[in-house]
Amino acid sequence: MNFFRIIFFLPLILFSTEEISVALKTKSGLATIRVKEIQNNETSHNLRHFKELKKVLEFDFNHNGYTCLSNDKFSNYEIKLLLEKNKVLCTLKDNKLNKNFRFEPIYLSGSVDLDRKKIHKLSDSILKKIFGVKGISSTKILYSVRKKIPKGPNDWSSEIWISDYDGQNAKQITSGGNYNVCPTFIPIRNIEGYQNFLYVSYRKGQPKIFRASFNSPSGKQLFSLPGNQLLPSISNDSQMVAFVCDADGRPDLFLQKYTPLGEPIGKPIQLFSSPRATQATSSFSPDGSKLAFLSDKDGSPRVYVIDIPYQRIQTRPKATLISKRNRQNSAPCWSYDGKKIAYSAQTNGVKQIWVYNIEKDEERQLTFSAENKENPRWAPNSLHLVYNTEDGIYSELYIINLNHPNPVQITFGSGQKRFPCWEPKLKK
Amino acid sequence: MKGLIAIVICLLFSGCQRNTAQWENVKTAGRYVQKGINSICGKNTDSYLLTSDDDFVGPEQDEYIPLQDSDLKTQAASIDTAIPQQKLTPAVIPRKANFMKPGSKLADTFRTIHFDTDNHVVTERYDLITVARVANYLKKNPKAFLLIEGHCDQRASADYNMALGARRANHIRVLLVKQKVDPSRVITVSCGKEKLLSFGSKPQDWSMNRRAEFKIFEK
Repeated sequence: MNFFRIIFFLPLILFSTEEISVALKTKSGLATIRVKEIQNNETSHNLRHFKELKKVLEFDFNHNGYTCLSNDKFSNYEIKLLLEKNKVLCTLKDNKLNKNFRFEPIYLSGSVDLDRKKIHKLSDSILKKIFGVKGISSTKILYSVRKKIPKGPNDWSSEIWISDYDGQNAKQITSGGNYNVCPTFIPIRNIEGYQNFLYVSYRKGQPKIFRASFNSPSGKQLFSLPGNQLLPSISNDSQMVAFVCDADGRPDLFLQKYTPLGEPIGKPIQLFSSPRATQATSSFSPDGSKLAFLSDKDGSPRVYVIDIPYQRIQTRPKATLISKRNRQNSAPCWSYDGKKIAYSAQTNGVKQIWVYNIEKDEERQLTFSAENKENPRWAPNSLHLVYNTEDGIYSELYIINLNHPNPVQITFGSGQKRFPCWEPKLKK
Repeated sequence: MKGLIAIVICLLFSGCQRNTAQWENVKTAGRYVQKGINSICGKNTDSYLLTSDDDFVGPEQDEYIPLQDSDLKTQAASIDTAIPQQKLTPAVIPRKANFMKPGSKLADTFRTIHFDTDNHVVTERYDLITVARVANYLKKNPKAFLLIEGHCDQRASADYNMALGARRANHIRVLLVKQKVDPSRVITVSCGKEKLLSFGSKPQDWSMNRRAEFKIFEK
């Protein structure tokens, strides 16, 4: 068979006037992209700033889940950046089609934070042009940073922070030395982006759930239920909040429904409880019809799914077990495409990130390194995940994508970074 | 003749019992058939007729609408009894910051209680004695309030431990209430694995962290 192929293609090879180039796929299946910079006799100050921004673009192209950087002249795509005074011009060349595309010029402000934002936007535009998909480079991540307070040996504070998806441009949101954890974006977006979030604060003694905004981070207590209120999750249409509360004397799963205007409908309902069980983190399916949650009702904590009732219930809904392969599961998170549930599971003595494929009813281990990993949360593209490592003293955030499962640490420096929450997907 | 009558009576009774059992089975099967038809018609939960607004939103005084599963009802003899939390106003109950660790004189009464892995039940005799001492103290000091902090070790995840800490603190509260302590004077706080005492990775480190600690406040 190969002999006939050679005979067939031999004349083409022998008499072809042009050089034949073949773009080979990389091992990971990602498209290769080459970033070239051109400067026009710029001052050293501008040049330094330009080179920093180029690094931002390179990070984006190395971690978007579709492309990886290459210095090979036979790469699939080539990006040329031209610095002209305070302006960056960008051209994309598709080497396969031999076509060039120009993008809107970027006017540099001189502020690294502002210009990083423009570069992230550019990298998302390029990704959209090549693959027709929405990138995650302009998205944000909420998380908590836990630090020891010098005044006492066993006193800690935990504050809510926000950063770009690559961990840069980090800003503290809450302050006051309180203990705030479990931040969750509220999926309502205005012109400035997602501005509101839920979080758990211990500032009243018992942990309570607060609704806050970046302008008013202390916020208001969301529920008047007595007892501990923990681990809130919110549906994609913002019309349901699930949380754990011990108002009935056990840590049970509760659900509060809201009108589209955000007014509560009736009272919270006790959604799932079992005499010998502890319920923990929950996550809504994107259509809001189901809820994945953690429970140890059958022994070790595992992930279950229940249907969300559309009317008042008297008995607990039937829970279907999802995570069958491993014990000691935690923190389920439903992807925005509705096809996957990520969670953490004890695997050979280490907590690793796993992804359950709903259509195939399959569980896949995504991480393998030696650190314990917890709290996986999906990016709006349902391709990337953010999670935190946890070993009691050090906790950092990492991002990973399903196409190229090579974790990248995005936070550094003092404090334990935990409970990450990626910006939600914009509703169509 | 008498023996024959006795045999006939016995046979009649056993026949009746068989018939009753059969009737019960038919009844149960019929009920499930009806449930199956209901579920086909879209009634997949145990629905019931609403007679008032309260039926939908619950009685006015309740903060939430509870499940009615029979196994969740309070059973005094069960170790898994749940006693609902009570809504407390700041005027009645002090802030957590006002609760202090008991002084050295009371240290023996308010000893830290320890738990087994993934368990919320107090099993050790000396821990149960501690609970009894705490209950006695609260009964003798009616102006005292108690705060129970539930803690976990570092092995399980932070989210699960937050819930488990609440479970442990609530269990101690139940034990105290069973010993006639006023539940409105006992507050529970889950600390999960957020306040570890020992960061080591040996069984004794984990054991030290799986605990319930007491803090008190007297008006």
